[in-house]
Amino acid sequence: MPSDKKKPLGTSRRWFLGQALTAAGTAIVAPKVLDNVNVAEAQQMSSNSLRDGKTERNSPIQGETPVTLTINGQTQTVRIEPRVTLLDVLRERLGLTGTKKGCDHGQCGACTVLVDGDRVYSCLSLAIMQEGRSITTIEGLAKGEQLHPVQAAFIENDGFQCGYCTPGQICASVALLNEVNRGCASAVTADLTRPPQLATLSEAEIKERLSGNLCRCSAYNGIVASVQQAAGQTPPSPAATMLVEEVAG
Amino acid sequence: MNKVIGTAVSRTDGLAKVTGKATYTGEQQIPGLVYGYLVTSAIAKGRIRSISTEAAQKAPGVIAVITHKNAPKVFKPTNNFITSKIYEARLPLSDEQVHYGGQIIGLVVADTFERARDAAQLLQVEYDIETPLVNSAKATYKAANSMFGEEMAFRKGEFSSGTGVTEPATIEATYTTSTELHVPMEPHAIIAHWQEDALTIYEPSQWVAGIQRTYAELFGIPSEKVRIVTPYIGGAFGSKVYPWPHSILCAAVARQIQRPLKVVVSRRQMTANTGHRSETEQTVKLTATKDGKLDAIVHTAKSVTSPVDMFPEPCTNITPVMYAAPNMQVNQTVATLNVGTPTFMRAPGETPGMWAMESAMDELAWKLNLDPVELRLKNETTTHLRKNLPFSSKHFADCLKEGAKRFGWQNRPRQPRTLTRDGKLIGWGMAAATYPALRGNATVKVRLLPDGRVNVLTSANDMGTGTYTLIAIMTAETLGVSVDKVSVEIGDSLFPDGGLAGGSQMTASLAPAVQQACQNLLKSGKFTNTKEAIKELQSSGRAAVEATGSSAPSEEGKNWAFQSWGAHFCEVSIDEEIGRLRVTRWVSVMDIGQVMNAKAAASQIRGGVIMGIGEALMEECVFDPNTGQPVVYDLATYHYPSHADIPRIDVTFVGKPDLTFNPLGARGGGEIGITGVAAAVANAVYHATGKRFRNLPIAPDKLMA
Repeated sequence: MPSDKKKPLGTSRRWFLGQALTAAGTAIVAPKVLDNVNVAEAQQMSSNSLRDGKTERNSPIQGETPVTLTINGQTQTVRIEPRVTLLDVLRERLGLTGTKKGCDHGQCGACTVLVDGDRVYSCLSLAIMQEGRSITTIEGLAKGEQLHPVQAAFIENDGFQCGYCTPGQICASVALLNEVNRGCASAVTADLTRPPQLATLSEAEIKERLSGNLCRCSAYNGIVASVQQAAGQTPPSPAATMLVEEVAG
Repeated sequence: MNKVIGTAVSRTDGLAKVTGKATYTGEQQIPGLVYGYLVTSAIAKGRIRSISTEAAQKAPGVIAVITHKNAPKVFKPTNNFITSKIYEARLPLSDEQVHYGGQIIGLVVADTFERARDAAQLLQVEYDIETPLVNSAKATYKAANSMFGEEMAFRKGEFSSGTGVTEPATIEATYTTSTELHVPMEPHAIIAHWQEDALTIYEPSQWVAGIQRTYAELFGIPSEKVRIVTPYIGGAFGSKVYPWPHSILCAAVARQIQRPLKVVVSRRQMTANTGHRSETEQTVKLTATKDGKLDAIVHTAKSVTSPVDMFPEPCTNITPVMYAAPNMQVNQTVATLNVGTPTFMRAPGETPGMWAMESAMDELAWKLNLDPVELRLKNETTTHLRKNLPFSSKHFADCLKEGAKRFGWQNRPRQPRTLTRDGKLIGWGMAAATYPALRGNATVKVRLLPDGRVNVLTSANDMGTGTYTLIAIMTAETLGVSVDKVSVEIGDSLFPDGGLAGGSQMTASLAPAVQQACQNLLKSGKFTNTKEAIKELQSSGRAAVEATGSSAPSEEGKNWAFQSWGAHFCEVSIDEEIGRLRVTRWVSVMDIGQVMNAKAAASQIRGGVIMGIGEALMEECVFDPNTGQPVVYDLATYHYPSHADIPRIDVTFVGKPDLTFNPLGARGGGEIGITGVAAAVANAVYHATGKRFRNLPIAPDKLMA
């Protein structure tokens, strides 16, 4: 395991390349040796709350390497091949299926998670590159029973139908509000020297900033209203107008 | 009785969905699960000469490599829509023939997803290539029957146009739509788990009881040995009703390898293997008197299907429904192309049908210098002109008038190219909406507990439509308890058959069944109300009182036609220089009978409208004319609306219950929202630019041309 977890990105990337080369080289020369090493490492790791996914494998996989991730405040170590994405670690190894796979190509935003507070498409992120970072998924947004204000707003404003894009929309919305607080501008910000505040964040700004998250049920009106509510604004009612209100017996 | 029906109730499945706890198909945690990755054809027509699997079999972690040479046997199901149905009549890997680009030709199973995907690239396939046909203009069309085998052509009247009609005004035009993809956010997925001779299927399904029977027939086992589990569905729009080839293959291979097997169809593979809406070409001819009374409607429609199944897009279903005309003729033809199998997609038939009809009505209104709202009011029909039955409840005129009022339609200039804003052309358009009201059989079990909580169980499902909440509303209303006391479990074949979620019928089928079950529960103990039942439970020490209830349509369909109605009004803003079109305002008024949940129903209509805006402006799957492969195949190439494309959608419901239809008077709203939308947009574009667009989508290149 790298001891330089907290070092800047460049170090991590160099470490990743080195590690990948080592794994490949060893595999060609002496696969058995590698297997033995991996078994030893795995045994050592199992005392450290190792969860190697739901698939109960009898033998470790060649080329796998232990990766320690901090997810929703908990540190976990998984053994994965370097090609495994953060999304597939969450869904297929750790049982954190709240993060959704919609396209696997960074085109829909369903897999959006927060990495050190920034929104990231987890399908485009290799898990092995996330060591030392703080990852927050949809499962980690609420504090116990207390929903994050964005989560509560999504329920109230009907910000979803099927719910499959919802975790990504919510994580993106949480990041969006943080970005506004930090004074980030968007492509539709008219005056870059005066980015919007939460109170003045327009529908056009919200829509622009959320357009990396697709929703085929098209709950877009409800999602925008949810962000408005979480920003402290008063959104329009999500309900329809009724011409007559009769209840059948 | 407390009033819950028709109020705005937040989704009861909302908490699970916003916390990531709602478990969709690919997310079931099953020990020993292995992963399958589909191998698909690189050609669109021909045969597989040879397929070499050696490298894949030797790849790390690989458990099985399945091709047509070693495919496990499955039986042909009855495939009649009633007992069983599969989307594609040809069973997967049944021979070496390739009928369309991207057809499934193999499955690689490995211990991890990455290793299965990697090994799937190692198959060496040699083909005998034939020239595929993907260009509908070169296809041979023949008369189409409906998917249920009924004749689609229809003719009434003598076509003696001219007698009584002096100086008739005529419009005749051809309208086309492109191949459209459902692209639900949740990719198609399945986990098949055999335990001895019993099969558990985790798969998104709009028809739990139906596919339970289908899998039983496919594997020659009794239905009781098949369990279907589908608690949450990540969008479907018609593409997740029956098993697709990948589903059948997964279940068959899982039995062979005796391991629980998961197959997720990749976004690219979905293009060919999980359905689409066929491209269509329709010609509409309208003849009317000078003051706008229709004398004749002629509507012909063409669509295409795959070589391995028949699905004609029923565009002409709307013709005898919308407008009165003494003379009417409809005709449908279909041709076969080397493309994947088309299927139902949100308002199949009505969506392209209303695009053509409502565009033609707009053209007629301009020709006669009539307000398009007035033209529609003038030609309203109170009867279904093919069935010769009166509509049970019709408030179409209210939709038109209320929509016009809310939009401010009376201020619309009568000339194109007269409205501008910020240097852009502004146009206003409108169109009607319609969708039939369907209803099926449904059964529900209700259980009341001593602490006042109520459990409701049914195999019905919620693909985002609001079924969980609907059941809770109906239970709360009938038993006089609050919504939060009701827990709903659905999407499991162990529960009573809750019917089919398709054709906008889940609410209409299910709500009366829930009502019946709740009433039966009170009757069963001769309780006058729920409080009394709870008291009895507490004093007797019984664990629960339970009852089932069913609902089914009766003979009413012999005397009445059931149909929903609506009207859309919209504004577009167009920058002609760069071909940029923005929909800036939208008003929809819908008559869907009793609305059960003012919040979820509004979202359904908005969702339909937005999918319609996608159809109007951007959705288009294109095939390479030489290779036959789709060149639009994922969410980067298949464009559909994002946040920035969509204005607020103002939704109003008439809300009058249709009590002839069912005891609640509710007709369902999953599909009507999309109908007429593309025409409303194109009609607004004409108002803005003076240019009539008859080919969808109205993409920037067409606007600039």
